[in-house]
Amino acid sequence: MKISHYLYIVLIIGAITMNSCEDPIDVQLESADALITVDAWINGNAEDQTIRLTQSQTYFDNNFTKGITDASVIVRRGDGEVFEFVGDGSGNYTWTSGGNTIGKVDDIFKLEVNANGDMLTSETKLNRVPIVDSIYQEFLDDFGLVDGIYIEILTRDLPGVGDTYWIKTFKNGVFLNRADEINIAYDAGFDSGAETDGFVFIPPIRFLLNPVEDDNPTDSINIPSYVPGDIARVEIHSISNDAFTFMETMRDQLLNSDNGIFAEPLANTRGNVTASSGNTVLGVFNVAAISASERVIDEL
Amino acid sequence: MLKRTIYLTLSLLFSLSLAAQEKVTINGYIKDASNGETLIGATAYVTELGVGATSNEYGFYSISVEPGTYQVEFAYLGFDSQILKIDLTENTKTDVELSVGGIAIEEVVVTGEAKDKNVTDIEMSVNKMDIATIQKMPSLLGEVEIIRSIQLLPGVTTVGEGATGFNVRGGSIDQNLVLLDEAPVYNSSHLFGFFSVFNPDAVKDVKLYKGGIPPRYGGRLSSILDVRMKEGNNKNLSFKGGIGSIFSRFAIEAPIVKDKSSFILAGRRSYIDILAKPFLSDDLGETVLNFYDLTLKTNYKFSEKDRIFLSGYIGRDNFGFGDAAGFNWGNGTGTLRWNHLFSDRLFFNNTLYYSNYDYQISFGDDSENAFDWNAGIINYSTKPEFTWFVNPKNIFRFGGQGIYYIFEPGNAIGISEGESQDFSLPSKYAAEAAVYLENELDYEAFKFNYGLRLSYFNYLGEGTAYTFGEAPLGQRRPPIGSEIFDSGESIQTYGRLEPRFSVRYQLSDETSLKASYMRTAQYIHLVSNTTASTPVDVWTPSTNNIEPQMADQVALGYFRNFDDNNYEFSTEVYFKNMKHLVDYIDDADLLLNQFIEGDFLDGDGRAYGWEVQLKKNKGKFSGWLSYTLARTERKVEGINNNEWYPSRFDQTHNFSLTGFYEFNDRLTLSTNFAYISGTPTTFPTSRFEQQGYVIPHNAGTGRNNVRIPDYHRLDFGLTLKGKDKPGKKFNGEWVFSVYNVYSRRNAFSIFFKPDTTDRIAPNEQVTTEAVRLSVIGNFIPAITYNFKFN
Repeated sequence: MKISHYLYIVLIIGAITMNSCEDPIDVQLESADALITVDAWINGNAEDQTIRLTQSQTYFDNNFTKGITDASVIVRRGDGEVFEFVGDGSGNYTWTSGGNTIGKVDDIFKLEVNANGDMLTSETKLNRVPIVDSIYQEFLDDFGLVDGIYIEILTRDLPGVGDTYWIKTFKNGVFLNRADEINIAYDAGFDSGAETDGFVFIPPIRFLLNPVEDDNPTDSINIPSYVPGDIARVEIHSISNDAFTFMETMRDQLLNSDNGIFAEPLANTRGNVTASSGNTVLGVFNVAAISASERVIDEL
Repeated sequence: MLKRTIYLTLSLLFSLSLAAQEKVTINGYIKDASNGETLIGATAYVTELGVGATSNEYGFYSISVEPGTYQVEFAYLGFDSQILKIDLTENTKTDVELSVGGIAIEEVVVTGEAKDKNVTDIEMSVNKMDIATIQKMPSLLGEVEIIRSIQLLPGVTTVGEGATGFNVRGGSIDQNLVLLDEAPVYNSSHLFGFFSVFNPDAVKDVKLYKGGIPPRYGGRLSSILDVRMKEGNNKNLSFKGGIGSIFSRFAIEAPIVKDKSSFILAGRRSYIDILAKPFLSDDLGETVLNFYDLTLKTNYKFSEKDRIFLSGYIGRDNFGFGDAAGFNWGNGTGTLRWNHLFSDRLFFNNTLYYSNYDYQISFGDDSENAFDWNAGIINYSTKPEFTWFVNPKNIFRFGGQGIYYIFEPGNAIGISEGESQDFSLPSKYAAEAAVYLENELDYEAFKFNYGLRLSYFNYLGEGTAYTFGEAPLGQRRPPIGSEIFDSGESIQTYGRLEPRFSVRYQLSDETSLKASYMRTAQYIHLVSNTTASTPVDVWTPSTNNIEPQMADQVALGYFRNFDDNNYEFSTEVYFKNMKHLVDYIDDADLLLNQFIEGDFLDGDGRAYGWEVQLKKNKGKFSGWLSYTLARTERKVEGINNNEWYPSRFDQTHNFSLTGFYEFNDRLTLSTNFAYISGTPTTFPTSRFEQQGYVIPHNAGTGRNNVRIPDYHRLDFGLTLKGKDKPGKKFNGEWVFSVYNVYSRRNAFSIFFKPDTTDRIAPNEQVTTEAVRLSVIGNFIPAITYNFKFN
């Protein structure tokens, strides 16, 4: 559980008197070879599924990532059924559903990628997911919040230890994609050690469905809080424990700079794809079951 | 074997006491004449025989000599010496009161000890700071700061500005035993690491042992910071205080029964919140931000042979945001000490203490949705100790300690839509015990202090002991079994022998060589994986999965005084080897995790370095210069490909200069300058994309592969005292200070992140950059007014 985020609020107040500051600076980084990255988060819905293969780049290289275009990508289901993903020349590989699904809960899937002469593989299971029964809305004027309408879900974790979820929120069709809007759960809580099996999601998770205000609210891509007429969509994706660990590290690393003097050391994410060559492969293969609910925000 | 050792020791003690029987003893207390405070480390010296004694932590001295008439000189630096002609035919008790030196210019600022103590004393790797010196040093926001002051000593480092605690010779912050009147203080900071919990108005003496730790101290690997509180003026009522930028302070001391009993009560409170209130909008107006501490000490002299001291401390930091959230933490300690003289030469002290650190966090303002969380550590201890002054050249100390610990790793209750969920972890219990024997022996040009500490730790029920399975290196180990233990049942025990040895060889009156070896064991550990430790970090006992930390350290030193002890020079080299240091897997869950031990890694450490210090004690200009060349490394299975890597507080060069210039009786200028090599940190090499997020990755050499820029800083302080007239009771002084004079933005750390924290539109290019975090980005001027009434 990361309490450091809350601590940071406290530190900011201390910092008012301490005039701390942050400035961009130039630093020299060690060079490193590009690594193959697999971005394979697919699901069991009856829709086209896309896997993206890219190369990592040096940290200060601000170009778009380069796709790996000449790979072959298949997903093999436990019963032997093979799904072929066809490349579009940009690094994206798509399986066309034609109204079918790739599988159902408890199916096992194996990813096989042949890229740059290396065989990459990964195995995962399509895990179960609880139903998002309904989305609630309320008006809040609490301390530290912009006065306005906020949404919440009261979903209960499925009984049995070790379910992991990624809760994704879309406001008027736009995915809330800030790093501090990443909402993942281990059972009903933050992590495996907290014993929250079978509970209703704990409040911070139930509530992290609301857009976080941008530092620059006039920005064209700013997403303000909900107003009547907005459509809120909440999806719960079941993810594997490996994918959960990956996302936990990813989120911590993306938010680490907010922790100021309480930052943790840089940690590499650990994916679940391996290469026959023994080279490190970045990224995750996950097949999610998705449950979703939508609500039009009412006048209060 | 053990029996034989005991037998030999006892017969040695017995024969020594027989040999000493024909002698007579002069003993007593050495005190400050102005307020009756006992003086620690003052000397009594028998001129004719060339032997002497140093007063102990309670101001007590004892010298046994052949009967005769002697001239005894009592001295303490900064005070006028007193020479008494004493006819010693029988045991004599002589209490001496020394007066502060007449000429202010001659006041010794660096140390308050015997003049040639640097050279003649057995102690090495020890720094003593008297509170008068600390008070004169320029400081952040004008607040007199004990912990930040010791960070200017050789061998002491910190991970950065504002970080709590300090690192001694490559040790982590939990390897320092910080004692306030013998009770451990588990978190020594207010406002994270900016201010320490010690109120300078109540502190008498500060001593830091970095090595050569005598057997009477134990429980931590790297250092002992021994802070002793004042006893209280037993002559007359006096008070002092100050108004500063952060704290206001007030202390009152007075005799209760003249020359028998006195007290001191000292308090501080910050008032940022009070000052800020008018400027905050309505809902921010409910913000609470304050910290305070209160120190009380009293003593009572029952007879010439019995005296008790009772001291207590409470301190708390409070943060609150209306009803929505609150966070507070603090320490509490209580110490009861009884000094008893069994004979003229056998001094006894028993200390009973209680110490507690805890924090509370709460969220939520209604009964339907709330989260309350608290955690802490409590301990109770008794510590009897005998000091036997056999003769001026032979002192024995022996005693023991018992500690009972209660660890509260986290009690958390979440109420969600009225449904209550309990995430609490069960308390853990442990007992620690130690016995020790220590002998200080003068033999011609040699002086020895050697001894043995035998320590024992018992991790107790009730509780559940988990066993963990295998996992790839550096990854979480899954729990595979558990066993339940009843209350008081022993889950795991550890015993460790800790030999300690120091020797001084005096080459001349002005020169000596010293060497020391120590082995130390540590049974409790602070669980923290952030750069700076946070107030929510919890302590954990050694368990069936966590072994006690161990360290061996050797140090060699050369000590030389010049110009009639006006200049003191010392240089030391040390090597320290550490085993079973606690470390953690990447992304460890260290809070509210019942399987926390599965996230622990067991590591080794080593530290070595060269320290130099030159002090000038007298004259208009005084001060000291320190330089340390050091290396501190860690090796942990599962981190950095199992290779050695520099620790986060490794500083190759650490130079500091502290100087004082007294223009006249009223005006003193002080300055600090520090230059410190950049500390290591881990930089990424690459970035990759996953689900639209841009993630840093280190494909290179691993942990702490790059250094942040060097740190340097200059501070000035100016103290202007009011005019002093004979008989004037009220005295005031103004202290002006400027911290970070040339506004250097020293890096605390460097972060790598997208150049905006704003939302990124789909298909928008993501720019990543390096950002330097400077905790203090500007020069900080401050004014403090201090006053005292005698």
